[in-house]
Amino acid sequence: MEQSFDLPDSTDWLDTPVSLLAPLESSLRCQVCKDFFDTPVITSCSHTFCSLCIRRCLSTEGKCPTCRSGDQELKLRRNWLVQEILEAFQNARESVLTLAKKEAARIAAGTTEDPEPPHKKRRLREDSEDQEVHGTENGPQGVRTRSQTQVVQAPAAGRDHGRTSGSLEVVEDSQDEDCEPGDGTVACPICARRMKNEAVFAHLDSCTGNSNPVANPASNNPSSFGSLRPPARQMPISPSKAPERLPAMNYSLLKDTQLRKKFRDLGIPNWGPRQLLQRRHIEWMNLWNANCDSSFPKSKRALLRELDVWERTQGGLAPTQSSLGQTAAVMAKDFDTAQWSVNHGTDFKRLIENARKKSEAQVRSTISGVKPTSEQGDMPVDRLAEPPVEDEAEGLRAARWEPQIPDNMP
Amino acid sequence: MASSVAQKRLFHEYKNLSTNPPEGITAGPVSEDDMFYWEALIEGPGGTPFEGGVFAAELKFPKDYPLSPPTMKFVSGGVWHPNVYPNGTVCISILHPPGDDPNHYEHASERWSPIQSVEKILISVMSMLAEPNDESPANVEAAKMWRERRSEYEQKVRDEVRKGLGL
Amino acid sequence: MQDDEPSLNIPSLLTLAVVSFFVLRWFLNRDDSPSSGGRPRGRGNAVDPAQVEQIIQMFPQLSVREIMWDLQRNGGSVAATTERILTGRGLETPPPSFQPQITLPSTSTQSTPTSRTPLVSKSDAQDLISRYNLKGQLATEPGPDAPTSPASASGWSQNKEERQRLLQKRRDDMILAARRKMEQKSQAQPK
Repeated sequence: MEQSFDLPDSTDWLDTPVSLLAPLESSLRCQVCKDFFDTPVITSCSHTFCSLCIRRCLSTEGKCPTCRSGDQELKLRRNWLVQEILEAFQNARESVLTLAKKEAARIAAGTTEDPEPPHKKRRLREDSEDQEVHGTENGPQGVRTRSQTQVVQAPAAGRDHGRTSGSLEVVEDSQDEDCEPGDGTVACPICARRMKNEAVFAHLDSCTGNSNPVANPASNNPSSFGSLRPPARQMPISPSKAPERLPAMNYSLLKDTQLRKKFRDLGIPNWGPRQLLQRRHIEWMNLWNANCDSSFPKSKRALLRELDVWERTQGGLAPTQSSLGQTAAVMAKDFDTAQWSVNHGTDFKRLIENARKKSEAQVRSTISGVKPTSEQGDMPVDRLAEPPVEDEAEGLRAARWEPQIPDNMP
Repeated sequence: MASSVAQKRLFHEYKNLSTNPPEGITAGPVSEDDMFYWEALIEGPGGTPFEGGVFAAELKFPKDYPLSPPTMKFVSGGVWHPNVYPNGTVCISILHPPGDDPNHYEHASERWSPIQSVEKILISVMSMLAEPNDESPANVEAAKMWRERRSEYEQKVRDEVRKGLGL
Repeated sequence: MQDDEPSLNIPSLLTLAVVSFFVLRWFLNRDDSPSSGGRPRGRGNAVDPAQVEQIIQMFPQLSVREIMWDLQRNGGSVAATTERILTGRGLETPPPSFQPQITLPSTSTQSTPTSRTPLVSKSDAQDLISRYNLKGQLATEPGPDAPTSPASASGWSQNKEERQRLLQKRRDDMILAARRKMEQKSQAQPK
């Protein structure tokens, strides 16, 4: 298993002078996968998760993991602000962490002649965090002072879809842009429509910037807003080629052959028993729809690869799945025998070898202890995952020849 | 990077528990080659007959963790406690998926959810040791003793704690 | 559904092999159990201490655990282990969970298969000290082992083995600390 051993984590901050950043980082991580939010979405109960994580949760349980109120996939909305904060944080993370670690090392070394930097650093950090948050919130009022292209690019991209609220109070008034109407309205910094002051925030959430792409000449400082738009225009989800979301399927209405045909149309594997087909389709739907949320959608090929990973860890190719699932894969028509033999040939040989060795050893063995029979009744999953071994060596050997971890296979 | 979500998440939890371990808890995979099999040590909570003891348990995680909860089982002799089966398996609501409620007594809010974690499980188990829930005894004998002959129960627990430490 | 034609191909053979292997093991185990006597050289962890000593005498620089691990893996062949060392391949580091009972010989009687590993869930009680083989460490005072690993404070390392070691160390420390505390307590107020 190739794990990345320097997995960044909120605890990285704990040993540094800026240990207070740990809670900040952990709140930027999804509670389900513990990773940084990937395409954060907000549920109707206002909890934020990665798009894919919450979709998986909802498809198994239909409830918000945090508060357990029922929710539906369709009600999920992108949470742009979180994504912005996260991106800003991620950009800063490495350098701040390096600084903080250096500082920690220096303190540890006892050369604390300059105790100030850590605090200063934190303040700096918080400041910039503040600014970034403010920057986006206050954008419409022109408070933004720094150009933060990167930070801003996502929200604008996202305003393209999903939001409808707040657009009601928009006052179409594009004719007399040059004069301030004096009627208490202000211009949206993105689309330059005029609207009531209070409506700007709500409108911004849904503003696509499309209605009037030319910046309002009257909004005296176009450059300060410039950062809001240009990068956003290269956004990947242009309405024309936005990937279409997959609808849920009513499996019980479909016959096997129909289902398999649908799968073929979707371009996903269609072997295996019905139950597996359903689980695969749910996973594919989750992957696909989460990808639709993403600001940087992956190619279908990449998604298929992810589905393949799923297949090997939890789906029909999962080695620890009950042997039933295993044979199902084997029995399928399109089963690739040659590939299978290649994948498992060495395992197989090792298995025979082990069995021989062990039965020999067994004959000579002096070891007592009938295997606890209570273990026998366990789920088959357990039995494969944990062969009833008596000693460590066998346990390890067993662990080795069982292709438990997907990475073992090419 | 083909390691699954579950492996990654478990690795995160492992790191978190190692760098910032909660009081009285040590946990980690038996071997990093199999992130789905952990071993944990819990200290007996103070002010209870379990005080001073250390209890070893194994945790087995399903492949779709954290969607499904792990199972937890005390090893080396088990624990004499109303909510621990004689074979050591822990019966506590946080380890039950919200879907099935074999006992019909647990609030859904106490049960497993993907935002729970190993740390939370172990902390819950610690508090379970302190306050047994005898509504749904997993070990009927222990529950009976706990209810009716408290001092005998406590003595038995104390003896087992000492035995567990090789005394 | 799917075609359930029973066809003999490699995978089904494989499944068969696994199943029959376990069945076989189970039977052999059961048959052996009553006769568990003092044959020194069985499978598993029952490595003959005399062999270990023999190798230790030849290569004092090696750790007992490594030797036991290798002996156990090659079925207790001193020759094979020696050859392995001499060819410069060195011995593999045993996995952290490999916990042989390191009782170096002197006594010729080999205790019955000791050193249960965490993978075994035994029904009968077994205390943590013997489970993790902490007897040896119990004898040493808490003082000297504190400075041996200054890194344990952080509890994390980029290195896999180091990490495993740290975990093990924290675990051992926890048990030993509890044990010492308990000892003190019972000395203070004897029953």
